[in-house]
Amino acid sequence: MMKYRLYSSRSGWTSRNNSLESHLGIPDGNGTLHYAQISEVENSENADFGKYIMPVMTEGKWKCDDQFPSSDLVDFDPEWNPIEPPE
Amino acid sequence: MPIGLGATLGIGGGRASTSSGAPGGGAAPPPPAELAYPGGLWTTSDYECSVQPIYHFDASILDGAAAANNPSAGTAVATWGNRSGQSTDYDAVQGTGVQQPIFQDTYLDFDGTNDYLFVNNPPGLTGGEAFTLITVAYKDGTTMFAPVGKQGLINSYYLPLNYSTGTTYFLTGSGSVSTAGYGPHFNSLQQFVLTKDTSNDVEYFLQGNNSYKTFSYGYTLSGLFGTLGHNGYYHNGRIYEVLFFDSQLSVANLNVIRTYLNNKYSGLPSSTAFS
Repeated sequence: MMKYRLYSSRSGWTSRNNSLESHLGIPDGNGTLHYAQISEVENSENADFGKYIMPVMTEGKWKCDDQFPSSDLVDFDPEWNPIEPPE
Repeated sequence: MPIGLGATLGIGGGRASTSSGAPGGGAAPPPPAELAYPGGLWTTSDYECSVQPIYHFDASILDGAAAANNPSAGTAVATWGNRSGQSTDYDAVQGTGVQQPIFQDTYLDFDGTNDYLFVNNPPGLTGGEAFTLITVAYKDGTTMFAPVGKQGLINSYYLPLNYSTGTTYFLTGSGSVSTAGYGPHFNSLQQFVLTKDTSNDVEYFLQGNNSYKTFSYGYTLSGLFGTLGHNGYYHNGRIYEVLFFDSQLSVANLNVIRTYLNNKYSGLPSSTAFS
């Protein structure tokens, strides 16, 4: 349902988010204001540390994986920003 | 807003109470299987609770007004309408497309990756208040179960109810948690009730009067009941229905809601009457 594209710069992420919103018709007048919110790989031990994460929907209303070369898309990596369970 | 400060118990002032099917709207009989309460979509039925919830999210009435307005299954949800009829806006919203849960006729499906909804004017605790939180949810897989969470914090433990890694937890005010010692119940439909009285006695119930945890809790937390699906510990699974009251419900009212839910959701395990 979701793939990801990583960007090296905030401006690159923002530019792509803007183009996706234009493609998808966001804002849509029904409460959807944005396509995605920017987030960053914060785990300094991860190879993608410092990159910006763009979620890419592969089905449903906001499907847009056809806007990316498939070779650019990666699967979610839980080590980007690992969350420890409560303990 | 905090439940002790301005949670308006208005009668008939909300959007839901003005919708089609509202009480007093003509000769149509009330639906016998719906939950009724003062100010709500229905005020009489076979299941009548004497207290109006602060919020009542019912996926089978997605906009909080009428089931006839429901979208088709598979629709991404930007707004889950509160059906309680309160004059305060307690609708749950998500303006970011990739973080919207998916409507599936009787439940909202949260992907466990980043889906959640904000509750407008999120209720919280200012200290010493009683509350009742009732949830019908289904946990997919073995990751997070976090149907209701605190608004305003990310990746923090402020969850009235959650479980992961085989243990059920409750929040504390300092980021640590209290182990409830029950569950988890992966890949199954469950009915949870969480109550707190004004002396800070908290009690968990599962499937009616099957109490499995009691403890004292007196923290003050704004926005504690402010998200559906937590923002950080993302809920992975379905949420069918959530009711939140700013009081500890009576045994009679708890049993009304228990039997309403058991009648409505055939997949729920049988329940035990509160006494």
